[in-house]
Amino acid sequence: MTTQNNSALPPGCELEAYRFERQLSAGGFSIVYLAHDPAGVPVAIKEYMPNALALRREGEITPNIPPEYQADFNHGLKLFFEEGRMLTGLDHPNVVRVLNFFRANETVYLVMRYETGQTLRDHIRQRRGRLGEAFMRTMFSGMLDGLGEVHGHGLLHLDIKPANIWLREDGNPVLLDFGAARYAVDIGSPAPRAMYTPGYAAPEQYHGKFTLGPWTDIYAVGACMYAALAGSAPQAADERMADDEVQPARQRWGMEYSPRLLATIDECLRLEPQRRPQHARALQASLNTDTAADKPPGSWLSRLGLKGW
Amino acid sequence: MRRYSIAQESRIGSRPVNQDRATWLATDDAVLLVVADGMGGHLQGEVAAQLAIDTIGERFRREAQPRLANPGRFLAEALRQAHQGIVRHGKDCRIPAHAAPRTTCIACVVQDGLAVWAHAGDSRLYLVHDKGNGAQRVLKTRDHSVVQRLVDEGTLSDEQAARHPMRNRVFSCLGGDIEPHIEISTPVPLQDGDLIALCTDGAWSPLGESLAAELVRAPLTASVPHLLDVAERAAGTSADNLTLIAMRWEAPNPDGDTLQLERDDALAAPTPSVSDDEIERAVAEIRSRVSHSPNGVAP
Repeated sequence: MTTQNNSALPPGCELEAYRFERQLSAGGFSIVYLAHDPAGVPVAIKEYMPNALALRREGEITPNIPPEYQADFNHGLKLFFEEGRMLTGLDHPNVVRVLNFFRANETVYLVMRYETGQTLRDHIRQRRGRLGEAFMRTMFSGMLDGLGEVHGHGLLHLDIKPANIWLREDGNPVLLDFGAARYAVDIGSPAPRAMYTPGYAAPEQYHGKFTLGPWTDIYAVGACMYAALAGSAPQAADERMADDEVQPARQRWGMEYSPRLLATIDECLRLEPQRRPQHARALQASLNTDTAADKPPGSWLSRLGLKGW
Repeated sequence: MRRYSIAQESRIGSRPVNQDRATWLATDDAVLLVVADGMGGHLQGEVAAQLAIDTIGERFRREAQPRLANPGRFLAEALRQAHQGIVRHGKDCRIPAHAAPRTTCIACVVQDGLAVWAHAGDSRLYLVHDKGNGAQRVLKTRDHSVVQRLVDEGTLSDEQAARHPMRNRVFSCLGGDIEPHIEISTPVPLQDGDLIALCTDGAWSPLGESLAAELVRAPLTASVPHLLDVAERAAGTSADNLTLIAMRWEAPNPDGDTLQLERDDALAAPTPSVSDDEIERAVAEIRSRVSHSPNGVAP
């Protein structure tokens, strides 16, 4: 049987006194599980398990890593450590909290606080976009609090997208998945791992290492805000560079949201890095601006209250 | 541009010559800070340091009109140009390659409320953010030194590194016959009251961790000379040249589709091998950090 993905650890499996319950999600590099610590507290555990480099069949625990892939597998392991290292230095309510880190089964595990809720992606899907203005301002402002803290530590996230923004049940956001995050750009060292999501990645992520900065994450935040209204990501930045088909938010939703919010989204999505808000606090300031004198022109939709969260 | 204050001082210590150099320049939109430490044991270390700050400064004057188009690229190109200038100077003076003039260099640009820096060698930048409860968040550059490598690998502790006989040996610098490793930071947003300090090893080495706490305590015109007094006294008769330039950022009251792509060449790129020991050390390090954090549990 040909399969693309590795099998998850079987339910009930125990590692380092954590009892694994079930798989929560899987990506190309890792599998995330729900587990319980010895006190019975639920935790989320991320297992480094790159599909391209390791093979684990149904019922197996330890993956098989072909000898010729071992070096690449270990290199990925190192990047996974980096993620753990970075996150242990961050302590912010809007950033995923790391609780532990351990090694087992020839690979490594990152233990994080388990949060109930859902991703912004799921929320956008359920509502088919058109999220309410008040929700947009509050949620993105909270998320930018966390992002500002990340940037203050000299880190860039570089893979912000709705699937990496977790909404707690009270709507409070948590920034997830720092697998692409980076500290510094070294000239002369091998090209850093290029990992990005079309539609959310800024133009400079497709080329040009000196132009990466907080504004790169700001582009992604703009794309998330756009997606929250449109229901899907804007056109990918590399295509926009050739032929920009993204309809400005101000044109597209001019009747339904405040001009200020829409203008902010358009500013974040500018292709030239220096024309975007340069850091999280600058963007937050435009989101937090008093909206009393800044009401949308109004439409029958908003009067029916179909947009609130 | 927001308000800022800058103070700088350089002292000879117990050496016959001061081979340290420092400068700062500003336009309405951008500030440049540079420190260079000419290397002893090489001829004309002070010339190399002077060439470095002059080259970077001149380039800043030319390109910052009044903004730099791309501060990260500016720094990368300016340090590389300085390296080439120093190499050329050594050749013009017919100095043999092994003794050719060299200098460390740390340079920082602040523009749009963001700081970005570049360094080669063991002169450092500290970015200090006061959390307000007596604690500071400190970012600092990683020295391009042999001992720093040993610390990163877990072979040496910070205390051992401070006393190590090889502590002054760098593997990257401007000038000389080896291409420098120039490391560029990501741009970091500054908050009100944040401090940026650039200094040579003669200043940071005797001070240890006290540098950050001391800087936030007093106005720079007081703390910069005070820190150098402390460092000079601690180093005693073996004091190296000491240089410190610091800046305080003083703001007025401010106002769908989730497919993850992975470029093929990323995995195909040559990958450094990781030893089992290295993995164990990294795990141990992360675990120890977690166990010190408020909510960490280590079952």
